[in-house]
Amino acid sequence: MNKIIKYALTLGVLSLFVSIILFVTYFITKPIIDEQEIKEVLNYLNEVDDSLKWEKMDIKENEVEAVYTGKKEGIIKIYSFKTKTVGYGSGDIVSLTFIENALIKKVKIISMFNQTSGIGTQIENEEYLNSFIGNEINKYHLKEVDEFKEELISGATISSSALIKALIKVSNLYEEIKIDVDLYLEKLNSLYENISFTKKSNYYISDDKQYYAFFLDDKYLLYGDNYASLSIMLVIKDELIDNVEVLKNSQTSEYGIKINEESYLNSYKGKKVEEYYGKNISDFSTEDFEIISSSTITSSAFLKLVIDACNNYKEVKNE
Amino acid sequence: MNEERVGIKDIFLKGIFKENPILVNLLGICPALAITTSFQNALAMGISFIFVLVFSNIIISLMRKLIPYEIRIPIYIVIIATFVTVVDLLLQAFLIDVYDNLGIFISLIVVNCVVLGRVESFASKNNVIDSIFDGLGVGFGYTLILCLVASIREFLGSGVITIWSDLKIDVNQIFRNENNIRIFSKFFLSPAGAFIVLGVIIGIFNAIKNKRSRV
Repeated sequence: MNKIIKYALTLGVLSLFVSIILFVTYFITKPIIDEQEIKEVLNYLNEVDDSLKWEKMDIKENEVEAVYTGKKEGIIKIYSFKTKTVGYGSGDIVSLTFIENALIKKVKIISMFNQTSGIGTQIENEEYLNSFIGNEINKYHLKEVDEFKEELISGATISSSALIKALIKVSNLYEEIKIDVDLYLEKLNSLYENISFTKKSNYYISDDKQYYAFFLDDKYLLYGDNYASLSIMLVIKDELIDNVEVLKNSQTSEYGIKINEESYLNSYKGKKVEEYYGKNISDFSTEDFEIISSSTITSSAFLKLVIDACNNYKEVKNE
Repeated sequence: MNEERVGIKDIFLKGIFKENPILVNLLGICPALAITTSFQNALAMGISFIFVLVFSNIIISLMRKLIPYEIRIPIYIVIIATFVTVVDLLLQAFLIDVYDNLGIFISLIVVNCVVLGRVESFASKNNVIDSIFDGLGVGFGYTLILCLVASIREFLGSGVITIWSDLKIDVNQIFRNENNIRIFSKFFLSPAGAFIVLGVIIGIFNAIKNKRSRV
């Protein structure tokens, strides 16, 4: 019994001693190793956006080797996940997936081993990698590779499965760690640099209570069963429209994008809220500047959102 | 005093020639075959090996009277593994290229029988000074052979000897014949080439040793 205690004590003291050595070494080398790791992938990160400050997050999960965040003025703009998944012949495929606003911005293969030249290496093709761009990362959340058969390359299914698996891992981790960025607030901060805004129920108000910002979107019938979507920002100051912008316009046709033009948007600026408050679209005609004769549907949808914003403003003011 | 100095010198030189771990004992030849594709790799491996061996020897020699005999092997392994982890982290932090090249073979120093052999047969029975010189001698002997094998393999395989990073000796231009066919063969960079080079070196060493013993 005494012997066992003696052995246990010896091993305990030894463990304490080596723990101190390892702790000191780890403490000294950890920041340098992190910096090295960032340096290694910095070229790839900068390829996507070199205006961002890239930092490594303290997260490591099975098959996700590192997570980097690209920040601007302290706000996370882009997440980048470095993954290592197993492809053909047990060879590792190391890739970087960039996510911006929950959409895949870029997928880059950093290295791959053992993948058959001309077959497995097809996953490196620009065309294939570009096919992922714009996909919602949420699409891969908690899914299995088998559910994405149409995204695999025939003849290189093992290698491309490894890439899909990486996206699934990224999606799962992204959902856990993402910080919801208030993009509207960011937009206002970029437009009104010296003015601070606060979010209220369905609008934003400046601290001096001079500016009221509304963000509205709508789906409208284009033709047949086809709908288009439109999203705008409208800022009101002293009962006048101070700023109006199209944030998203799903239309890409020559007529549909007319409302994005600066001259059209500028024509709204300085208009009184009263001109739109409590009005209907039918109160305006194509002779008015609000409705463009060649794109009546889109400009009407835009006008409707302006009217809604002005109505919201009046409601807020009356409260 | 004089006797002690001679003793230390003998201990040191014994590890390099008389008890060279690779040439005489044929121990730890796995990394000698695997990572000797360039001189730089061999040198880095050798320095890492010396670090682990010397520090393990120091600690085990200091603790030799406290270590219970029955549990000595796990204790040795824990100490060796600690210094291997230290080397691993230091290389990862300060010499990332070397770290990437050596890969798993740094971690595998833990199970290198030369290290365990020296701490068991020497450090656990001798004082700290002797143990340091034993570690240095065996370490230098090991590094010397690693570097020799690497130089020959790298030179015959690619016509280049990478001393460190961009510092290289490149004789490719001299050894190209008129038809631009390279005389260097990648065969020497393969595991089979490593076996042959190491075999030839051991053969030459034994031939010299036999000749000297006859004289």
